Order: sequence, then C-alpha cells, then structure tokens
Amino acid sequence: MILLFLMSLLAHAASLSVEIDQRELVVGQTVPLKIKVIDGSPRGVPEVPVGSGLLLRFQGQSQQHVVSNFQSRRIVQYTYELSATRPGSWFVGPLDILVDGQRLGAAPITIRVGEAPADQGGLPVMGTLTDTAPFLGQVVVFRLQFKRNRPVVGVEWTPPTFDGFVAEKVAEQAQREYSIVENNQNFTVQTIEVPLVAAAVGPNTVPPAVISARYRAQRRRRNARRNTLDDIFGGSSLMGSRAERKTHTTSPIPLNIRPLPQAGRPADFGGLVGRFTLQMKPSARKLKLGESLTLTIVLKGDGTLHGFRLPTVPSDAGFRVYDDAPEITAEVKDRIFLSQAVVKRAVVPEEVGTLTIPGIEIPIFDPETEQYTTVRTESLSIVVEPGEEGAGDVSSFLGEDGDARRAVESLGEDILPVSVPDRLQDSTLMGSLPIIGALPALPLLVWLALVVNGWLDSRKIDPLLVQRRRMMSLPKDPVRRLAILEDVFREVAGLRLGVPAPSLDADAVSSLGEDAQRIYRALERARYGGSSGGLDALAAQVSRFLEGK
Amino acid sequence: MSGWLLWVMLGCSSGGQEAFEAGIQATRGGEQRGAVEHFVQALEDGGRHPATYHGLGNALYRSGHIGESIAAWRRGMSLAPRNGDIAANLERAQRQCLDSIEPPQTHRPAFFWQSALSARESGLLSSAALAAGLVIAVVARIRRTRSGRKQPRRAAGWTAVMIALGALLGASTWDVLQQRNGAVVVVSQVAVRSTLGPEGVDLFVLHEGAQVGTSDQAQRHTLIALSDGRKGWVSSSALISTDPSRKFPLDSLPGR
Repeated sequence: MILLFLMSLLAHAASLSVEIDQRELVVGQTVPLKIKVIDGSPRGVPEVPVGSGLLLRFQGQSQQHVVSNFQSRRIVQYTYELSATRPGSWFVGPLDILVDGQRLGAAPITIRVGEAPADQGGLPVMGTLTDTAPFLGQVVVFRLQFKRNRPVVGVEWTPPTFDGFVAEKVAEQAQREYSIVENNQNFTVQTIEVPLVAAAVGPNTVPPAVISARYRAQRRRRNARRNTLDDIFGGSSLMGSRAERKTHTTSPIPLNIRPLPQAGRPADFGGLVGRFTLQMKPSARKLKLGESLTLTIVLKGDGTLHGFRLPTVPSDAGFRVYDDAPEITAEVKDRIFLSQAVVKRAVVPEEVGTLTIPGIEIPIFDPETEQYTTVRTESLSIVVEPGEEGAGDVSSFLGEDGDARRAVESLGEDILPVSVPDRLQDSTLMGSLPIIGALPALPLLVWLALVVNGWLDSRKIDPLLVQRRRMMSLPKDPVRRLAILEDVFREVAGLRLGVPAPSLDADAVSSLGEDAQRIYRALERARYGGSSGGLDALAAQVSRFLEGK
Repeated sequence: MSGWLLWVMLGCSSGGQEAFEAGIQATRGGEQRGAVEHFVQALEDGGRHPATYHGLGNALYRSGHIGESIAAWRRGMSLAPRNGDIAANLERAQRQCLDSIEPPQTHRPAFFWQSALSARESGLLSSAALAAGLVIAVVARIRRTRSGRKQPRRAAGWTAVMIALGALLGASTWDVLQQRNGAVVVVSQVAVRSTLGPEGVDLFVLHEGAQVGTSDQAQRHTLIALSDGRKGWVSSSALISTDPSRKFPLDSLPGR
C-alpha cells in the first residue's frame, strides 16, 4: 500500500504531444503523424482537424511503458497518415482532447504544401526553367527533377553551362528529396533548384544536365538462406550486392532573353527586375532634437537584390540619414525565388517641429506586366521637440562650473584638399624598378662570385696527390726508379719550402730537418755511387717524407 | 658598374615638381581648368605621385567632371591605398553616381595585404626580402670558405624563408599589375552593346562615374565587365583607365 501511495505521489500529470517529421510537403506526398498521450488515458481515438488541402487517415494505436530515472511512464501513441492534396499553407490542429477528465490541448502546426512534381512522361530526369523568355536582370529558376522507383546507392549531377545567365549571388541552390505514391507505386523524387539571373540578351539554350545514378542491382534469389540474409541487410554492400550505374540526361531548353524596354524607363531606374513590395517603419514618432530614430526599410520580392542600395536623401531635406549596409537574404523553394533586403536608416532631425520624412520610391521593372513601375512607402510625420542643448538658454550656463562647450556644427561637406609632399617622385612600380632590381642584384652577384670561386677551387689538383700516385707506380728499372724518387723528393721539398724544385740544394734541404737531409744525401750517394741496392729502403723514406711523418 | 649606378639613380629621380606646384597654385587661385593642365603636365614629366592624382581629381571634381575625378582618385588610391583623404573624396564622388555597382577588384583575395600596400611598396618589400635572403647566403658562404665547415642549417633555413617571402610578395605584386584593368565611364551615359556591329543589341546603360573592368580591346571599342558578371562592348572614348602608369587623357574634357 505504502509503495502504491508513493508511486501515486511520483506520478506525472498527463501531457500531450504531436509529432510530424516534415512540415513542407508536395501534393501527393504522405508522411506519418503521431499523437502521444503521456501518463493519461484518452477516451477513444483523438479527432484531429486538418486544413482542406490535407487528408488524415488513422492507422493504429500502440502503448508502451518507459522507465526513466526510476520513474515509470505510460505512453499511448496514435499513428495517422497525413497526405497533401492541394498546394498552400494548411493547419493540423489545434488539438483539444479529454484525458482522465482533464482537457489537454496542442497548438496548430502549419504545413506548407508545394506543387506536385512535374509530369515527366516516363522520363527519369527532367530539367525545367521557370521562364524561357525572361527579361534582362530577371531571376529564373532552373529545376532538375529525378524520379525513380528503384533504390539508389548514390546520385551525382553535373550542372549544365548556363550561358546567358549568371548565378544569383545571395541564394544558394536548393536540394530536396521526398517520396510520393502514384498508381499504387512508391516513387522517390529528388529536385535541385538553381536560381539564375538573365545577363545577356538574345536567343540561347540551356544544354542537357547529366545525372549519374548508381542503382542497387536487382539479383535473382538462389536459396532461402540467402533470401533471409538479403532481407536482414537490405541487399546492402555488406552482403556483396553490386550497383548498376546509369546516366540520364535532360533535354536542352531553348530560351530567349529579352532586353528591358527603353520606353518609359525612369531616369533613376537602378536595375531591379521583378515584383517587389516596400515597407518603412520608424522606431519612434516623437523625439528630441539631437536624438536619432531608426527607420527599418524592408524591400521584398522575387528579383535579385544583390548590390541594392537605397536612394540618397537631398542635403536640404531637413534631416540627415546614415544607412547601415543592407542585410540581403534570398532563398529558392518550389521554383519560387524570394529575396529580401532590410536596411536600417538612422534619421537625425536638424530642426524642431513636425518633420515630414518623404516616402521612399524605387523604380522597378515588372516582368509580368512588362512595364516600369515604382514601389513606394507613405511619408512619415515625426514630432521633433527641443533637445537638452537647444532648449536651454546658453547664457545661463556662463559662469557655472559645467563644461559649456558644444560640438562643432557642420555647415557643409566638401572634398579634402591635397597634402603637398616635400619632394615629388614617381610612385609607380616602374619608377622604383631600378632600386627593386638593384637591391637583390648586388648580393646575388657576390654570391655568384663566391660560388664560381668555390667551383674553381674544387677543380685544382692537389700536388701532393700527384706525387703519391707516382710513388704508387714506381718502375722496376733501378735507374728510372731512382730518377722518380729524386724527382718526388725535390717536388715535395720544394712545395714545403715554397721554392721551385730545380733550385733546391743541400743548404735549403737542411732547413727541413734531419730526415730530409738524410734522404737528400742518400739520393746523392745512389746517383753518383751507382749503388741501387737500397732503393726500396730509400723509397720507404721518401714515402714517409711525402706523408710528413 | 658606374653606368649601372647611373641608371639606378636616374630611375629614382623625381620630375614634374614645377608643374605640380603650378597646379597647386592654380587650385588655390580657383583656376580649375589651368590646374588640371598643370597636374597632367606633372604626370607627363614623371611626377606620378598620389598627391598629383589627388590634386588632379580635386580640380576635375570642382570643374564638374565626376567621372574623370573618380578615375584620377582611383589612380591615386592604387599608388597610396592607405591615403584616407583620397578615399574620402572617392567615396563622396561615388555617392553622386547613378549606377550602383561595385568597382572591380584590385587584387586576388588571397593576397589580402595588397589592400594596404601599393604595387611599388610590395615590390620593394619583395626586393628587400630577396636581398636579405641572399646576404644571409653570402655571409654563410664566406664563413664556410674560411672555416672549411659545411653551411649551418639555420642560415640555410633563413635564406629559404626570406627568398620564399620575397617570391610571395613578388607574386602578389605581379597580380596587382595584372588586375589593373579598371576603367571609369566619363560620359553622361553610354549604352553597352552585346557585340560590335549592327547586329548587336543594347544590353544596359551605364552612367558617368560607373567603375568597370576591361577584358578586351578592339580598334575603337572596349569589352567591359561589371562586378555582377554582365559584359558588353562600349566606345573606348567613354572610358578612362584607372591604371596610374597610363597616360591621363584630357581629350574627353569639353572645350579641348
């Protein structure tokens, strides 16, 4: 009993929720709608009112218990099928149901229903243009529609070259995927919509767009086991299913971009093409002199607003304006391009009284009526009261401790004068080319000289190396052998003393030490004595002398 | 060597000082037409300085030639991108233009530093970086020759960094020179046609002060491109280039 009592204390109050996966549908599309009653028992199936463009069918009811944070919850779920039948904005709800004697409600949900996908006449892909005879500067939407009733692994599309158009710079291309039922068959429709601005007058053609789709291959089932595995993995690549690649192309679309008519073109026409509305809203209707108010100006339409700026205000208007950069947004949805520019304009009145802010007028070209027209706002009346500074008597502040200074008043605006330089010189790149070339040229020359010098040094032959080679290939003939030994000794001694080898004598050799003197005398003896018996020992002595040992 | 040094010195010499000062005096005396001629003379004498283009733009603006003044100030801005006075004048003149189009870009976005550096400044920095890299390489080479040891890695690294920096600045300078294809419309209005010849149609109309990019040149016509991608042919006499190294034409001014 105690446990039940505690459970009842912990029980939650009943609540209601409505769940729908998508709120933007197209005609023919069906999505599930779920109503959940939590911790309550409704009487019967809840009745859900829907707009006339929608159709709701009850599918079934289920019940589950969920334990979360040691608390048990009972959820009763009612499942419906919501189908879109007519384009427009429609409501689902509001919901008002009786649960355990208590009324529970849910706010209505808006469902936006777009046009059904265009009839493709059996073709898998189709490209369309919202207007094939647009005016220069008009926004058109290219739509690529891919409809299939087979599952695909991946889809890639190659957009055509839109000659005669430039991409709309604010809006991005829109992609969408949804399922529809046609003739009791489920189809998946994928659409890509690209907003374009007509930029070059004359006939042109949008070439075919290419869609490359990898379909999941249909395989013949061989045995029951395989069938079961295929069903579990849905024929996925896990079980080694193969994809079949197919390429589809759209038909080319001929078009003709028309120039804007010269007749009736307003002098201040800024290039806006489309249907637009203009609104202006002040932040206040009354203010003091010295204060500012903000006008929020909103221009909406189906034409591009890239680069849009408000017309300027004449300097004698009785007020000054400071514009923020326009916040421009645009999107494309269901082949409709919508753009909006919001400009915050700060207005600073210049005198006390009733200030009339004239309405803003923007000339546009309407492609539907094919005429120039002007969108405008109403003028505004603002009451400007004396400000803190303007209202007070300035002389009354004299003699007081407060700062009686005031901001320097601007009487006009003009261009800024030239600051005269001390010395005029050519500031172009060509004028400084000699310095630009000379700066790196000097170290480059030095560096090159060092590199060349190093290279030449590396090519010099080491004289000791030459003598070593001679010692390594001494002839067997004793006379020639002695001559070479003597020559090697003289060359090495000459190199060490820094004198030519032929001018060496005993005195000069003595300065090289005892060993050198001994070799010199041994060589003399061998030459004049005719003895050649100790030539090998002599060769060993000369070798040691050569290595400086 | 002496000839080379003479060439370097001649290259950096100034010119057009007298004509520039005469232009300043004429401006102060209210003789705008005379000032324009003096400033143009200063440019032709070699005084291609931002102040000359500033003075020329001011004199043209006061003479009522908005398009020509924008062209002159644009040239001054490309020589001195950080000059706030010229930028303010340019902004003021642009507000008086009818066409709301963005001026063509002066450099690729990747070379963002060129918004604050002129081609001359980035060229000099590039040259200095290359020179610094080479000086480091020379010092390292001399040390190596004297000591007989290999070049230290740190010196090689600094040489590579400085030379890479110099090459990057050199590339951005080259890009600025390549993007100098801007022009300003200097006639009250001009029709832009789809092609040369009678079969062309009028695509759109540009008014004085509109800043465009040029991409091709025929005998008497220029192919222009707007920042929104539209293109067309227009008479070359309706345009003045914003390239500061080009001659500033005075033929478009009435009365000449």
